[in-house]
Amino acid sequence: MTRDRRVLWLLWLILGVGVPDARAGEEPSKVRLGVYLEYEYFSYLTSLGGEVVDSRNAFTAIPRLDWAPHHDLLLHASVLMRKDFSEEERSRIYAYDAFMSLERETWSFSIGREVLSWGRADSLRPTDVFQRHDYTDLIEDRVEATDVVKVTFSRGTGTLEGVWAPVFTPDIVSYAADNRWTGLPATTDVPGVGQVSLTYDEDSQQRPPATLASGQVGIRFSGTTGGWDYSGMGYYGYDRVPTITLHEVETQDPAAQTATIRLVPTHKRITVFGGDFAKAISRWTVRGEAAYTLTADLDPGTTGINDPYFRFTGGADRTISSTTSAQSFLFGIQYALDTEAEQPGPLDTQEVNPWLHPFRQALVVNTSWKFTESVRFDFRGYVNRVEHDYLVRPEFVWTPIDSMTIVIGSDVLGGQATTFFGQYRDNDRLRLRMSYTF
Amino acid sequence: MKPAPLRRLVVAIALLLAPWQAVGQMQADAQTRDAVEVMRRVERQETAPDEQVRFTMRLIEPSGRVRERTGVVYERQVSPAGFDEMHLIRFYSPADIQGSGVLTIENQDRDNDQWLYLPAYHTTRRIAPANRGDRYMGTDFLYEDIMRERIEEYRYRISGEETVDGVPCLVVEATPAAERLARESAYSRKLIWVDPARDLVLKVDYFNRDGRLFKRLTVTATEKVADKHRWRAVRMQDLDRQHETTVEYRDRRIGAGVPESYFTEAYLKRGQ
Repeated sequence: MTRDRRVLWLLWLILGVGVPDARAGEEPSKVRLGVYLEYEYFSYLTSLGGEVVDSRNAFTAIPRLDWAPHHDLLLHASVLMRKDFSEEERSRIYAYDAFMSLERETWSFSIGREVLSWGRADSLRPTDVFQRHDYTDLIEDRVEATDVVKVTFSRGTGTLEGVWAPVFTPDIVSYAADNRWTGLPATTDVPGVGQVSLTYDEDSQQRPPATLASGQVGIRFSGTTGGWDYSGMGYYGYDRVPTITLHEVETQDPAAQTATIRLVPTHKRITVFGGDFAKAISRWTVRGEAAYTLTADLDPGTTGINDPYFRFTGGADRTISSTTSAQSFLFGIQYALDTEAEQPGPLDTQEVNPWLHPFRQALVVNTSWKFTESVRFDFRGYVNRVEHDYLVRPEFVWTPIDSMTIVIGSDVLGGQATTFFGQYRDNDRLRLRMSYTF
Repeated sequence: MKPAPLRRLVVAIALLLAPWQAVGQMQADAQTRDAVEVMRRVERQETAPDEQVRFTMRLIEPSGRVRERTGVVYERQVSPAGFDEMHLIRFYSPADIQGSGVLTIENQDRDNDQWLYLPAYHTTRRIAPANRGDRYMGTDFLYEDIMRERIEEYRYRISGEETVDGVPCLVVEATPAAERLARESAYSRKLIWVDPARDLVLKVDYFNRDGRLFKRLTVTATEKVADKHRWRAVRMQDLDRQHETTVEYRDRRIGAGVPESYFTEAYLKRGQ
């Protein structure tokens, strides 16, 4: 018996599942290797149609390994390798996800780093509490995996899911001066000195400890009855998005007109209760979710983001297809509500939080027009109905061959400088992404 | 009003023809009953408690360019006594859709339930049951081609006998009868070639709503598994677009026990 097989048998014994049974029709043990390759290029413009003021390009490779020694057992690992030729801080190599998953007919167990996604809304999911995000490019909003232990029990169409994340891992944000999505001012007016350029120095003293004391737990029950999908969930953990407390200027160089400000990111303890639903009605699908978040108010004297808040996202979508051609048209619209949402303030406010509460009330539109099997046009738009800031994302998607995708699109942001998208209104850009999976 | 002699003549002719009309009607009724019985036998032959099969699907464009997908289909009856089924289709390739799947549960009393899983989104998504006439995942099949055909929703008649690749077949004409089907179907009628010895469909011609032939399904190979006759290879041609889809099946297992848990969102999300 090889060492690998001995390890497997040991795992089975430890987990108390007995000898694996060979189920009819399943493929024997197999190993799958694959790689995702991606190149991105962004051109930042003075305005839509204006001249290029800046650009960023990056190459990403994600090799992955799936080993399924038995139908019920999967070992998976992938490594993200990114070289950003413009922002060195975004160049990283790390284990994107790596987990062992054991699936039985009525229960499953997994341990490791995996992407967990809760909720049924198309975007802006209030119950999606375990999924992490990489905000170093806010608009791309890439999801990140979380280190978890997960157990599920299924009976009929119902599933009970329990998740324990032993050590807190935050969202990825950047405070680098050359990053366009920090949500922090690049300059400020210092009396007697004038306009100075700002850099930020992170003080991590208030980050949750990297110990079991920072653990988070969540439980979710989901099911389907009479054409309705539904779930209820509870979570005790942290806001993954940091709330940044701006402290005094650490260093200042009047001659060079630069200053460094100390930042103290904090992640607040929260308790979340929520649920979601989805239902097909005629040719439409309605879906939504809501969550109420109780917060640990670190500073009772402040209002806004420290208060409990309620979020709701709901909407409907429909796909219209052609009988005689490959054409189809998808249309979806969502309404998002976020109470107690304070917009990020200027530098003189004590706390800023550029990412936690982007909306008070927003409309999200998502359309996709497929012309042929290989060409489609997508359009997504976000409009904050209170502050009137917006983001629109038109793009052409071309699949010249299977597994290869080329996307040419743009991101246009607008609104007052004090609004969520408005603060990034100088970040209008054209973008190109080429990806290939094999 | 017609003159009396002519009226008498018309009545006389009608009286003379009445028995022949009655005989003709009886023959038509018998044909319909026979056709329905043929289709019921096909349905019984096609039905199994559960079934699983791997497939290789090729989408062939007029230019000759071929796109290939591989995957597996799991099926199971919703209840042992009925014909409604649950289907899970899981794709193995191409690489960018590996692990994606579509779960469909047919319902007798309401629209089907359907969910889609795309690994890139890490979650399942309920989707509205597609229009019958929608194309199925970029293939030349429409959703109504892969859904179970409810016999009570069609009017059938036997329109003749022909051979398909040397196999004697009954040619059954199927016309939408149910109001909703007639409204939603992309077809005004279908001609179905049934091998009565095996109760197996070997060819189908599809006529669009203008009555023009626009699609043709041809079974190019068959197999017998667990006393059931099945397609091993099939070609669907879109005669308008000059586009075709071929499907080859392998490793078919019938009644080998597909767990009920496969037809849940939780299993769909596993992506394996």
